[in-house]
Amino acid sequence: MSSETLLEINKLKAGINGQAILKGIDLTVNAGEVHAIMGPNGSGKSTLAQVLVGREEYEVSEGKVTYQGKDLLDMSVEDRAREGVFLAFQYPVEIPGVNGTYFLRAAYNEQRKYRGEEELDAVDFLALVKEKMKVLELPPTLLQRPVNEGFSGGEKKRNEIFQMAVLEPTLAILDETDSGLDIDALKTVAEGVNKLKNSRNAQIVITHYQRLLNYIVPDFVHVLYDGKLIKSGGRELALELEERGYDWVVAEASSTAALAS
Amino acid sequence: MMTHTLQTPSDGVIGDYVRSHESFLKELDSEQPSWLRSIRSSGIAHFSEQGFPGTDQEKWKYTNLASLRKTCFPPVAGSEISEEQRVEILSRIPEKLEGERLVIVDGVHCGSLSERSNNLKFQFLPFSSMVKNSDNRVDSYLGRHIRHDQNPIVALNSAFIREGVFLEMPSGLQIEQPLHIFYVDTGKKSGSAVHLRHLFIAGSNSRVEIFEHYISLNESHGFTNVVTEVFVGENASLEHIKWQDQNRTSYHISNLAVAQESGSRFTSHSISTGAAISRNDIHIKLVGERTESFLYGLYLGRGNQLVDHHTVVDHLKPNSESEEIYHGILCEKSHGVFNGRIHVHSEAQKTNAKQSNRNLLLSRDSWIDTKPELEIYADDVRCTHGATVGQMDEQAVFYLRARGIPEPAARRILVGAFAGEITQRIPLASVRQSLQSYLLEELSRIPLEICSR
Repeated sequence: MSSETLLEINKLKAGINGQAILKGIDLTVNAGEVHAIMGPNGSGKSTLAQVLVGREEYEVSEGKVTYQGKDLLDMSVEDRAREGVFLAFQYPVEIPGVNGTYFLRAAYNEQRKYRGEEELDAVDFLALVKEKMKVLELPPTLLQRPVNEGFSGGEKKRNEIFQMAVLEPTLAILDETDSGLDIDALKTVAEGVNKLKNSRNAQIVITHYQRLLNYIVPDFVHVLYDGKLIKSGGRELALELEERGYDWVVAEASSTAALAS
Repeated sequence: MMTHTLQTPSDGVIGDYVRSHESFLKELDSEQPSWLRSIRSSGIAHFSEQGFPGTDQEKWKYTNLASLRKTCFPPVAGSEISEEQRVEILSRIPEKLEGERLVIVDGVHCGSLSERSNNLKFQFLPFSSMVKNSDNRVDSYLGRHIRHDQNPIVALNSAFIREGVFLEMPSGLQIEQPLHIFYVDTGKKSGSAVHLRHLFIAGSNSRVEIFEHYISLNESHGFTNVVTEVFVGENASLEHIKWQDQNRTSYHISNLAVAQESGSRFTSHSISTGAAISRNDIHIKLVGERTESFLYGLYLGRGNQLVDHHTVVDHLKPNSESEEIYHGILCEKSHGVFNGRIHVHSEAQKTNAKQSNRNLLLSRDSWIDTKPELEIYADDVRCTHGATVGQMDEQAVFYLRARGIPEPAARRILVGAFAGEITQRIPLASVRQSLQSYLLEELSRIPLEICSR
């Protein structure tokens, strides 16, 4: 294998308030790859995303997550971000009174400080932002407003991808980025994500529906069901799921499990 | 047989105030004008009759003045300032704040620190110099909108009336540069009081911005009692920014009464960051039609501070608009009080009144008593109000952290933004910046990371 392993999840078990949600996840993501994680509601897709970025409400009971050779679960929320792990939130938070550019520059400079690089001043940062905005075809007014405040659903999602464009993460996790988007917005967001893809980074796309994967083409598709990845395949698996639903995968998995026991 | 103890004015603290008033009058120049003499004597009479308000009164239910009531705070009559103090006082003036400035030190106008140009087209004078020059214009306005027979603290102010600022804008004059009133308590005489009396008169079609700033140089224990009367003439615009940042061992009580004529606009920015106990009463009377009033407020409490704002907007005539937004940040063991009353009288049809009070409680021991009061006697009006009490938005904290911003900085950003929603409305950039950096520094001292409940 030529590409570098970015993320390795081993037997990860996690839950919230004593309730088990992830029941043993194994997943390896290499640089240059796009992985889609699909599954019905309540299967644990968002929990996986939250655990990877370090949401404290979730308790990890077992397993290991290695990111670029480091123990990810041992890192603070902030350090994960500074190490290049990025979550595009399913529900981006509105932050009244905090100017978008100010917020993003603070985040950007935190990462630079962490890497021992010089911080960018307001002028240089604005130049960078303008360039990235062009790529994503975003209205410039978006960043003059307080973070996500009064944004439409589509604007919020685009703003997440815009932050991703500026912060240039190594591992981006997109949590239901397609939900609440009309087809045009979906295309714009997907194009943005595709433009950010390169051989050194990777993306995990969490989605309930196949339609996003028409635009963000995954290398691998995994089905998450009841806290476990029960099936993996290529892009064609997503199309099959679209056509046949999840029941057959579940049935297949339970018969395999029955055979194994 | 029962024995009766007669409570006479000469007893206790009230008696001390009466005696203090007698010696105050003796010290004054003998050529005390008769109108001023009568205000002073009626002031002490009303005060000695009523005394300080107690918590049995609805308006003072949450603000206990027991500690202020314990001893008499005699009036202080100015101080000589050292070179060191002069430097410190000047350093506290917001950078790049230019224009006319009146500085009052320990209750007396300090000419050497003030900035005053000749040939001003308007009157901006210390109260004391007007009295000295037998300029009796003050008399015709004083007490017109704030009556001391109904408010013992105003009565006490009238009793010891001596210094303040008189502003009179002639009709049609619009000035760009703000007027700065800077009050400094040097703390030289701990346990003393300063009673300031301001009069601001904006003639029709005039426009003016006033910045009132209150500071202390050290941790003395003083009592500042401010009474301000504002007259906003037809189509005039007056913007009032008050930042009270006195030391946290002092008392600050302020009564601001505003009367607005038709087509006028009045904006109040009330920023309270100082004093052990501070109380701000703002009473706006919309005596004309088509007026606009904006009341913005921000209070920051830490330690054991008590910050109380009581506002009343009286809509007396039709077609007026008022908007009130107050934000409170309460840390440690501080206590906030907000009472906002909107009174729409029967004649005041088409009134549009909005009020909002939002509070961030950043510790287990902080507290807020907030109460909107709407009294509406007209049927065609729009009135909205809302009060919130909450902690920091933990989802927002996480969002910022997930972008790499450290938790303490994330919390400061969020509290700063909450304050910023008020401070950004201050039209004077120099004051706004000075206040914002002050808040940033104060917030960095408070352990916000352990403030969540």
